[in-house]
Amino acid sequence: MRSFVKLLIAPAAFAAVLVALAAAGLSPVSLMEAALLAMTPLALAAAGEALNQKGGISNIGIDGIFLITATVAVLGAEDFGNGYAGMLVGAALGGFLGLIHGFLSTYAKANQIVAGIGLNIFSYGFVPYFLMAAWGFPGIRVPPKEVLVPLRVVPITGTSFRLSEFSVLAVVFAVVLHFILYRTPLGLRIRACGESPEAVDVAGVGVFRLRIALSTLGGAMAGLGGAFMSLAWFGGVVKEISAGRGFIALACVVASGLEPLLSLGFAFIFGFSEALAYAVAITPGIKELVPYHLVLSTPYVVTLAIVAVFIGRRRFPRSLGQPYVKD
Amino acid sequence: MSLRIGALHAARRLSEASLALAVGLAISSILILAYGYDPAKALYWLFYGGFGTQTVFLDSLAYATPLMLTGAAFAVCASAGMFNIGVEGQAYMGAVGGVVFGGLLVRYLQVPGPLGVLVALAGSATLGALWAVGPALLKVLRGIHEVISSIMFNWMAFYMAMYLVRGPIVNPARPEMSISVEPSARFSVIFRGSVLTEAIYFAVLASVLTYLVLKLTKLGFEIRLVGAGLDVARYAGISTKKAMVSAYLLSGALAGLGGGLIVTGRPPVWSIYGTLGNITNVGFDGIGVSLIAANNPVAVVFSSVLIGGLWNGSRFMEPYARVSSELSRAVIGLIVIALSTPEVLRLVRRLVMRWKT
Amino acid sequence: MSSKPISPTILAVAITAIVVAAVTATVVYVAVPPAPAATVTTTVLRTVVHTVTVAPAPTPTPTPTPPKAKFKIAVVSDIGGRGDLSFNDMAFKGADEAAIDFGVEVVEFISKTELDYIPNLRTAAMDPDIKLIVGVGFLLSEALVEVALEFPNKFFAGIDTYSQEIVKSKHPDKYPLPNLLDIKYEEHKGSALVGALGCLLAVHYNYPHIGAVLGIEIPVLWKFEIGYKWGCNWAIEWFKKNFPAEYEAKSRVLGNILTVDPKSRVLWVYTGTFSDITKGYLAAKEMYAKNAVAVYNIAGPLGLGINQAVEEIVRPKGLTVGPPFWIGVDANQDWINPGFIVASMMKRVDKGVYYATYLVLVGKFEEVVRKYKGVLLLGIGTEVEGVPMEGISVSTLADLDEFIEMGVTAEKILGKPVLPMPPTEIRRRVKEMRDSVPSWIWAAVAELERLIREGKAQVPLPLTEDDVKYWRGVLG
Repeated sequence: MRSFVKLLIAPAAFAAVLVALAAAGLSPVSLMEAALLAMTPLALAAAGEALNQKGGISNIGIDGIFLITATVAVLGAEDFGNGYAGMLVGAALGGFLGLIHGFLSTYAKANQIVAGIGLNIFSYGFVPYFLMAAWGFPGIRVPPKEVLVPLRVVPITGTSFRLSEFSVLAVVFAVVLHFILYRTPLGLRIRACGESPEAVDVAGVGVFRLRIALSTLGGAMAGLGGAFMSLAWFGGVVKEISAGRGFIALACVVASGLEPLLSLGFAFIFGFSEALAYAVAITPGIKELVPYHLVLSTPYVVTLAIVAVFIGRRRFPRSLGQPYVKD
Repeated sequence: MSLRIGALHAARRLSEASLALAVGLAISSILILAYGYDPAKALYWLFYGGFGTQTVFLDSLAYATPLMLTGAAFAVCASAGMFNIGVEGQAYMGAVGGVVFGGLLVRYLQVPGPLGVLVALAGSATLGALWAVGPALLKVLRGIHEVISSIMFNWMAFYMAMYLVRGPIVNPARPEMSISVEPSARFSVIFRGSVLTEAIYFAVLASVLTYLVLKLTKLGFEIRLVGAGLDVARYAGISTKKAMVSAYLLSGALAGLGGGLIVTGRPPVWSIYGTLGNITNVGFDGIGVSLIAANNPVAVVFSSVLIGGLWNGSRFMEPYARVSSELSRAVIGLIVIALSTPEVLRLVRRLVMRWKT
Repeated sequence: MSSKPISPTILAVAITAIVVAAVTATVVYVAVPPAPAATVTTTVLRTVVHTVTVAPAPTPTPTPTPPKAKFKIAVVSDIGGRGDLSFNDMAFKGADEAAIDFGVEVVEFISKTELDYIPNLRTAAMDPDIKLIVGVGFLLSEALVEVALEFPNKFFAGIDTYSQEIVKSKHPDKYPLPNLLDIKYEEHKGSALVGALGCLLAVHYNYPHIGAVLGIEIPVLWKFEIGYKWGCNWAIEWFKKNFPAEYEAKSRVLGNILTVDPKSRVLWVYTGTFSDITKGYLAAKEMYAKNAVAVYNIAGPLGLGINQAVEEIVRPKGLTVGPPFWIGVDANQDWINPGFIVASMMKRVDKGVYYATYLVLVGKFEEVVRKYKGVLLLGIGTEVEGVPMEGISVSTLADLDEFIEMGVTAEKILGKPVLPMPPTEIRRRVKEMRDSVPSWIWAAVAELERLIREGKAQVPLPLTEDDVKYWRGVLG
């Protein structure tokens, strides 16, 4: 019962915050719109990475996957003439990158963090190069409107609320992955794979194959998130489109203790704080009180605070990040 | 470790690094070819521009100078088994510290000549170390992985430095940048016609000293023991928390110095641009440098020269080979990925050997 | 722990993912056509030169004879380089036009970071064929001085730079440095014009605010910011004087800009970036949420983020014409999303680069430097050697064609859409939008331009931090 009460505290507190902001003259509708958009790529990537880490591989190259897929997805959308096809290209390419990371982390016994750092550095160079090579313009590409993924308009009493179906999908994914992880034999195997790969191996389940599959899944979901950024959210791509969001997704994963559902919640909080930072920064009169540069750093402070507060009781899989060596 | 084994070890590592460089360049060539450019031409200008003439080589050394310190900074933490991605943010704060001490304090105290440089760099090291306190404490007290916390600290440092450069330490006559460090707090240019300054001596010295601290002192021993595994260190009766925090702070101080060397050792502005453009990425590139050097501070000196050369040479790819100069960063990333998997490299080498015989 | 082998489902998933990933990678690889050897814009611009109204050469001068030796000019860009659709692209546009008209070759150096400035300038200066080096952007000032002193036989021009001021303070004996020319613009005047335009739109359509998304807070941008705010206030005074009855009526309409505290009329934020469009999007989204009728893009490529924020509002409603609008900058950006960019504040960087090349070719560079103390000011009503030479204007339908033409050629080369719709459609929509804005608003803007030209309206020119603080105190 206590956990049930706890579950109610957060929404109630959030509602109070919204009311307070509305009283301060900030539109709750537009804040929620912005928050959900900002949440989506984080939530998608975080849910996938949570599962990946449960299985024992940690991929800190998510930021790189975001960047690369956000860019290539635009090319995919243009070539297929369809934004949804572009989203698929993003997911597939993300999956491919996840697959490579999975392979490196298992058979090749790579140091996972180093490989992830390498992927990030690679993406910071590859993306500007690719933008230049594919479209002849450095640093930026805005595709025609027809190949973008449009937002849906949901009528809510008197006002219209703009929402992407992928935001809904992110929530569905988080729920489904949570279900898989805790209610199916497969989930049991995934968790065992992170805790004691030796036992899983003895039981006849291929640790490497399972881990690679999870890494591919994690990469594909991050790829979907990256494609979402360029095709559905910003309507174009710039070479620093991810702005460190991959790491924020990782922070959501870590703070949640690798729980897909909880990481969704943290992704929303980050999205909301990002939307709020901009709403506050442009409010007349606020600039004299707080330097806007400091306002813009709120999302990062919030993320850190959340991690610091919530991480306390988290337990992580015993073999997380360790290459598994068969005897 | 005897000298002979050490030399063997170094030779193996060097061969690994060269192999990784080859892998990186090969994959990049495929990328260049895939879009219809000429890889031979691009790579020619990349290396010509980085190492081809004395002038460009001196500039390459100038690009390498701050990387030596951010590289050494990452290496220290890596010796303790931690990944200090925060070197980037610590370098920002180090640059700020350099400007505050080298600009305000040196002017106020009228510090003369070479002493001014030391005052400025003291400021850099202090602020860099201070910015490392947060992630270090979060790590040992709350168990938060340093990669996560230091990325957040990087972004906070970015906005904080931007705020400071735009506000409290702005140059009133040139509001697009911070105040400059005083002439007495600047390294002098070694050769006219190049941006290389005496800062490189300092950077090499600091890297070597870092190596010696890690190898010869008790603190260095403890740090390495922690890096070898927490259990080992605990059995040896070492306060692992203390060693980790020390490593992190030392790392932050070095990263801060890396930022400081940009404001004290790089003409023409001797200050921080309001865009932070002259100090961004110096930390991230240092991470690449350190990983390529197997986190050995002495090897860092050489790998910085390699990366500095790629960086400087990439300026030539754009005008003369029409290939986006940022590709050089992709090359660095590929090298790092290749180096993360010694198994694959060994496999490649075996294949090459078999093919040769 | 069950001893069952790995479930077939997950194997199937894994295999499918692998196959899909591999196939897509191949498809993407095959689908991408090889890029042309030369950068696109170069070729694009080569063909559009005839449509360009070239900066007038002072009085009847003979066209320079094509030089025997190779003659190259180098453009050293600021960070970002080509592709910002505004500042840097305009500089390359000027260089490319000069390349056609004068038969010179353009070499481009793109600065990745501020650390590249000096090495790039020096590399360019050491090339024996390169005679003129153009540094694009305010931040190159120090680097230009340094390298210009080192290479007295090469000519250097800086856009927005204040290099000669540095020479004056550091090397007073050499001032003005004869091989160095600063080219500056009167952005505050142009911004005042679009500020007036924006505020009158708000009055007309009953919106409470106008917005401005700015890049990194550097002094050049202060000129935009303060000019814009000043223009807004001027417009409201103008409206009060010329339409007193309407002023009274509009003042009673809830949510009209006339009912808003004068210091809150303009929503503005410095995003701290000239490249991350996501920040432009987030800032603009909040501004439109607060009912800004138009948002002024003062951050180059961030206009695309602003455009996305507009799209989100207008697309579900099926609008083809604003409000809401946004306002373009530097280049004519009206074609990016026709019907929703009410106008652009054009800063003709291209003319400056072109003119500098011309001066070198006719051998008058040093003469002009001496005459104008090394600073060429282009703006509204400015002259060079007795000939009108302007560099600031509000975009018109006529300018639009020049920039559409650029896109048409780019499409031919790339084989990919660059323009959002066919050129005739762009023209039609922009015209429709311009016609939908009441003519008295355009008349007001024209009147302000006339007053500025005649020196009867003084737009504040903030140069120092104190100036800006003062004007923010006055204007909000």
